[in-house]
Amino acid sequence: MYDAGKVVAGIAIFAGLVTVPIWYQASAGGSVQSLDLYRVFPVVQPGAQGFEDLPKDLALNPDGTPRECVEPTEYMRANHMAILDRWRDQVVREDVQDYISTTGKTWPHLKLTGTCLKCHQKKAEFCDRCHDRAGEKPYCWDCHLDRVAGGR
Amino acid sequence: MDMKRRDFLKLAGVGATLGVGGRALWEVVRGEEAFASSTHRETSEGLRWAMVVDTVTCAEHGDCRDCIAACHRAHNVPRHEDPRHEVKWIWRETFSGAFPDEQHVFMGHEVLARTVPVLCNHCDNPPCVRVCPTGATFKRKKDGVVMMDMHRCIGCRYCIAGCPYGARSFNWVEPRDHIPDINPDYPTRTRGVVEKCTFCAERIAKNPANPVPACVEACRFGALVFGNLGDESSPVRRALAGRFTLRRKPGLGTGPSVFYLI
Repeated sequence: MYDAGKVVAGIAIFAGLVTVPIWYQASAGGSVQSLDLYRVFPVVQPGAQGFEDLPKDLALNPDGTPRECVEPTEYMRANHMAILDRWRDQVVREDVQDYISTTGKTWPHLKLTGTCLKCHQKKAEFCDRCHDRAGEKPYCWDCHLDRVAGGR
Repeated sequence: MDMKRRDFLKLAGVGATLGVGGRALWEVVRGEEAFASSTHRETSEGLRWAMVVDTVTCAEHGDCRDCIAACHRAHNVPRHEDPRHEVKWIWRETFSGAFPDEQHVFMGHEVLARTVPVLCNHCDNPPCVRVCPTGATFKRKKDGVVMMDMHRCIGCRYCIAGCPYGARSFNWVEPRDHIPDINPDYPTRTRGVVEKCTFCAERIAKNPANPVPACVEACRFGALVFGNLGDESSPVRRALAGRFTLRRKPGLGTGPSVFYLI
C-alpha cells in the first residue's frame, strides 16, 4: 500500500469521530450497553436554559397533587416517544391492550387520546410547547384527536 | 480464468433461470405451496369472526341506512359530496353489483331488486394483505380480522387494486374537514391513507368474548349477525346451517367471512 501511514492514520481518525457518542458516553461514566439515543442527545428538561417556564407537570388531581403516570416523570420525559412507538405496534398489530410498567403496575386499554390525554388534557400546553421549541413536529394529531380543542 | 464466450452465456442463462424460478423450484422440491393463493384451503376450526346478512329482512327495509350511519359515525368516516372522494366502510349495493356471477336474466324481480349491505369481507385469503408493500394491512392470526395499521400506510393503493370487492377507500382530501359529527373516542384518518371496515376491532378488544360491531348493534331488524365461524353453536353458524347463503365472488378464492342469506 502506498502512503500506508497516512491512510491508516486517516482511517483511525475517521473511526474515532464516527464513534464519538460511544466513547464519550463511556468516558462520562455511563455504560455502553445502556446507550440510547435519548441520553446521547438529551431531551430538554424543564428549567433548562431557555425553557424555564415549561410546566413541571400538568396532570394534577383535583386537590393539586400530581397524578401517577404510567412511568416515572423523568423516564417519560426522555422516552415517551419510544413508549408510544412500542404501544402503537402492540395495540394495533399485536393486540396487546395493556401496559405493564417498570413498577409492575398494569395499565389497561392504552390509547393516546384515551390514556395520555385523559390526564394531560391540554395538548397545547403539554405537548406543543416543548415540541414547538424543539422544532419537533410529530404527526400523531393528524389522526388522533385533541378533545380539549373540540376534537380538531 | 479462461472461458469461451459461448460457455459464459450458457452459465449466465442457467444462473438467471435459477435466480428467477429458484424459489418456486425449491418450494416444489420441499413440497410447499409455490403459489399459495391458488391452493388456499379454508378450515372451519379456530376463532374466526364472521358476519351473516339476511338479505330478505334487509330488503324489506330498503330505505334503512341505520347500520351505515352507525358505523360511519362511530369511526369518523368522512362524508364527501364529490363521489370521486367517497370514503365508505359499509354501504348498500344492488344484488347484481354484489353478486355479479349469480345473476341471470330470468331471475325473479324481487331478488334482483334487493339491495344488500356490503363491507370488507375479512377474507380468509386476503389479496389486499398479499399486495401491501409495508405490512400496513395484515390478517390477525388469532381471529382472522383483516386489520389496517394507519401508521404504516403509505397510500400506494395497491390494496385498492387488489381488493375485488371495492371495500377500500382512499383519502384524497383531508378527511377531518368532512366529518359532520366527530366521535372523540375514535381517531380520524389523514389525507393519503386507505381505510376500510375493521370488524370493529376496537369493540373486539373491549369485549373479546362476545363482541357486537356497531352495524350489528344498530340494526333494528336483526338482519346482521356476528359471531365466531369456528364455533358450531355460534349465531353465525346457526344462521348458516338453516338457510342457503352466498358469498361475494367465491370463485376468486378469497374465502370471504361475510355471508348473505338468500
